[in-house]
Amino acid sequence: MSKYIIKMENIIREYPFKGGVVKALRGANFKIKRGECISIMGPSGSGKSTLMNVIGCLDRQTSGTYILDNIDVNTLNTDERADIRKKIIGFVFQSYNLLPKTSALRNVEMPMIYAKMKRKTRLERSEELLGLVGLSHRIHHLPSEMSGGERQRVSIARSLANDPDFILADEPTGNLDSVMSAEIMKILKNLNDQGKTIIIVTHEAEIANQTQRVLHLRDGIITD
Amino acid sequence: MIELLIESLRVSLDSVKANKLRSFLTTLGIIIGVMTIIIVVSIIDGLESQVMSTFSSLGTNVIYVQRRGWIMRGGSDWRKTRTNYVDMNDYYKMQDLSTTAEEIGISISNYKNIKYINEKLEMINIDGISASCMSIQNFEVDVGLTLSENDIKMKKNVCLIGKDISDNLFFGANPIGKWLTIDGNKFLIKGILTEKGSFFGQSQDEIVLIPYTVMLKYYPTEKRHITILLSSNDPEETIEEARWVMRISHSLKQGDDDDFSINTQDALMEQWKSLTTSIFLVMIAIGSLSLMVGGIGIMNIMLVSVSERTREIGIRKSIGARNKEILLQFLFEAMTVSLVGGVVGIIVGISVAFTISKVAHLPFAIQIWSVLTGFLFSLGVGLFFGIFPARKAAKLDPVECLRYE
Repeated sequence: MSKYIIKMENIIREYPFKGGVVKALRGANFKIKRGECISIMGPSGSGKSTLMNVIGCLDRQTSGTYILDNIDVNTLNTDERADIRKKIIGFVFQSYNLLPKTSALRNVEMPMIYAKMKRKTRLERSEELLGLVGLSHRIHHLPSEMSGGERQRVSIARSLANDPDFILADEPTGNLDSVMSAEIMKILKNLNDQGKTIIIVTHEAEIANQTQRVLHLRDGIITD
Repeated sequence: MIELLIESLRVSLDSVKANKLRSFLTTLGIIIGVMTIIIVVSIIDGLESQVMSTFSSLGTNVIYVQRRGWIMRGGSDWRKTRTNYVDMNDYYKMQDLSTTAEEIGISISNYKNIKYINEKLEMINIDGISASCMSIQNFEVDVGLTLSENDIKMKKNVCLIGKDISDNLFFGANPIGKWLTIDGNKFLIKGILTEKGSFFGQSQDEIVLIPYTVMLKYYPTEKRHITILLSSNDPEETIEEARWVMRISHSLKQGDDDDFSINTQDALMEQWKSLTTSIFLVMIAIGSLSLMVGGIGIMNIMLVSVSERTREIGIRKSIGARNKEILLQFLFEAMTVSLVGGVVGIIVGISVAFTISKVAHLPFAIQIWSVLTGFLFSLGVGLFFGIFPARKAAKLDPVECLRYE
């Protein structure tokens, strides 16, 4: 097992735009160690979303090498990338991205369905994870019946469903007040204490400063 | 796979429940299509068994020698074919020459007004028959006496009446021994016939039987409109024989066309079957058309669903759903919607068929295969029309989906 969970070399991401190209990432060169709690910080328009999509295997880089857990992600096909998202990455989004009209329990259960886990195991684990984020009493509630902080905690529980190698959190506190933000950060830090690698993408220095290491992204360029 | 199916089922039932009116309208085509199939199959089936039992109540293996055919043969117009009357002479020849017929009878039909004291019935079927027709045509006497050979020979003014006549003229009083007036002539009622039921919606019990000799006595011109009836255990043989006798009787030369018709219930039954087959095919075509329209409706609604749930697709992809799993989810969903329509169609179809059979006094039957067909068709429609929207959903880019508001 490699010491590094993520290695990025000269990652460039360009989009075709009105006949020309827009360079969203001009060069990403960094490594993230297993067990780190790291934040990637940059102002809006700096290429945060693009970088996050590349790290999360939702998007492909135009050039450069991205090694995730010793695998060159660029060589993988669509299904294999889906499998990486399922097993290695746990997503936490700014806007929670929970399925509406679906209970907390079922939201947490969802990734395990795609991982083809047994129903009994899924339900037990979902309850356990919701307990871990302090929502044991809310498991049958719908997202619309929950506060922002609660929704984000459901989303964290969901990200842990298939025991991923790292959690990729995109502005996890962006929609929350300071009290709730602190709660979310506390949960993420606890997870890190238990050995989980945490990557937080944010534009807030306050959040970034709570992590062990901060990488700055400016105009599509980021280095160690 | 099974888990995904259950999951998809749950998701699709949720979305059906959340959009009740929309789902109903979407599946209306499927409902109507499946319903049509169920109803048509059930009613044609009911008619079939009704008609079969009626045919046998008319007397099976009976051959009718008449001037006109019951069935128009393709191409030949019966009005242009030169035909001759079947008359008493032919009847006597048949009695002399036929060796294969079990029984030979004669029947002359007429429509007359009848009356008892002040109660009148108009245009009632009066059959002048020979005694042998009682058994050839399956007439049974329920109460009273039958027509005897002697009644026929002595040209007695006697008659047998059907159940409907008894009910409508005598209202429960005993008609036997009373005098019935047929077209001004009085007839002694000897007996009441056993009920036969209706045939193509026409009652067979609204009938009066009198000796054919009496019919000819009052209406001599009717001697040219008689039907010779032959019962036989070997109909094919008897048909050939009857044809031979008729050709001799009519002095037809070799090469001349028959100037008479030999009718059998088999031929009528075939005609009936080809009629029901055409009705059946037309209705199945309508059903299929409506299934197709229903399918297009489902495709439409699934496309709407895909675009409404773009974000959901993105979320599912981000947590590890493969394209194939997204495809299956939407495909299962289309099939579920379609199947719900199919099941509703089956239920409504059975209820409507049941109601119609009760109102029309038909035997009620539902064929398993028609239910199965409705079921499989609705599933097939969902599959066929669901595949395009499902593929569209599966191919969506997760980044685009997550950005979608």
